[in-house]
Amino acid sequence: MFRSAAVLSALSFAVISASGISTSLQEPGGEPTTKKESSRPERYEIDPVHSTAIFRVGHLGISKFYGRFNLVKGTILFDEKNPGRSRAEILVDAASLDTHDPKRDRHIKGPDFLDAKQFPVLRFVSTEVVLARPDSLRIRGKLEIHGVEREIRLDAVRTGRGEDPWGGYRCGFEARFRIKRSDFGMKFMLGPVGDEVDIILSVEGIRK
Amino acid sequence: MLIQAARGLIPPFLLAGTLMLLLGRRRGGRGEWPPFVAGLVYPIGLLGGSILLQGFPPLPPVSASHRLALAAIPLAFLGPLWKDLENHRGRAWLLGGAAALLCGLYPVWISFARSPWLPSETDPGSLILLALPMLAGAAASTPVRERSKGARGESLVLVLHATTAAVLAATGSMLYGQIAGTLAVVSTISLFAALTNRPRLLGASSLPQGAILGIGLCLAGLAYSEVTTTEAILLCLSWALTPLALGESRPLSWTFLSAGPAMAALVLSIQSLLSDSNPYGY
Repeated sequence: MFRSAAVLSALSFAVISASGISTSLQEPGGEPTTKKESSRPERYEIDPVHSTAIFRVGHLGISKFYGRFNLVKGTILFDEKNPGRSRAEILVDAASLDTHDPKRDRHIKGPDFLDAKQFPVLRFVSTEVVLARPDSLRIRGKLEIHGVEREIRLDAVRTGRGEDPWGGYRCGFEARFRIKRSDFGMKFMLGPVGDEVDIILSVEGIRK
Repeated sequence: MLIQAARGLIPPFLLAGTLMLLLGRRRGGRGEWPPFVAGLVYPIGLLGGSILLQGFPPLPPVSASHRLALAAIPLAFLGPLWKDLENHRGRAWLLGGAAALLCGLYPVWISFARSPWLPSETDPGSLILLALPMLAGAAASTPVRERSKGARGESLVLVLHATTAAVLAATGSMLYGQIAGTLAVVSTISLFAALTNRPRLLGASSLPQGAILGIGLCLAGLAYSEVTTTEAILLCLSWALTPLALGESRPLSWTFLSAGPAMAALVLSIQSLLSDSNPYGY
């Protein structure tokens, strides 16, 4: 049972600026709670070292090439007993893009695509979390890329949880979803470079 | 890449060309259109190309390219202002004073405003963006009185817009390059009008507007793309020198002097591009 998951994290994207990204996620509270809802969400800070955002996009209609963002941060509030109270905010540093080709990296980070200097962070903030199946969450939230915010839905799974060797407690989630870059104002070279972008977001949170 | 470039260039060409033909049929002979009408040509061409490239600019705008496309509209009022000040004896001092005042107050104003309609206070081009065109305009008082009957002015503006487009495209942003290309297309139509004895779309009064848009793109490239400081300074210098090259009484050498820095920027950007191990793409 998963419950939890608050999962979420899943997805949320947000990013981190060079000076360090900070999240603004607050624990839900203030409302009267019933006995059933008496649990408090556990707070997980995303571990950037063990979290990754991977994407793939079509090239010339011939193949798919893959890239990733090397810096993912954020916060997950995960309520094991009441997943609906779970929330997540994920930040992705646009400048950390890596497609194993420096020239292509510079171009994608430039004004033609991500425009990373103007929009340094990709951000996802969950607005609704529903437990679909054990260890599987259906999440609705707002994804902001390139200065444009769109509501998206995605499915996330809890990949595991448990104590780490250093006395901490960790929880992992992975979400897969698809966006259209044109929906986010990135319309350069539509056709040669595919419009649909498949994204895998895998995060590991450390309980605080 | 060519298709993408065509998408940005053909619409402004058609829009501005249609405007020119419609207006030209009603007003024969040489001369210029009223400053405000001429001032609408840049926004029509720029917005047409921008919409095709990026879609309709969101309101409020979210990026420098959106802000620049929208800024072209109020900039149309620069032409009439220019016209009104044409015979003002203290024009240069008036504009210089306004520029100094704006430079002094701008950082204070923008730090309070924090409006999405404005460049952020961290944008290195925000201050220069306001100052340079005003200073360039202050130097432009002579050409307005000495309207060129030839096509030298149109040719120079076309060269600068086209060079700006080439430098931006060569330094990492086809989008900025294409936006500058739409300005070059509009300038091409104006040159065509001048060469065929039609009323000029872009008269001398349009120069401040064109200079602001050209300089704005250079600075956007400097801030958000890979235009180097040297290339940006050279391009902006060309725009600043343009007023000095216009007017009947100015020798042709001034035209080359104005275009020279832009040409140097183009050479630098191409040299940098060719020095790459794979200059043609990835």
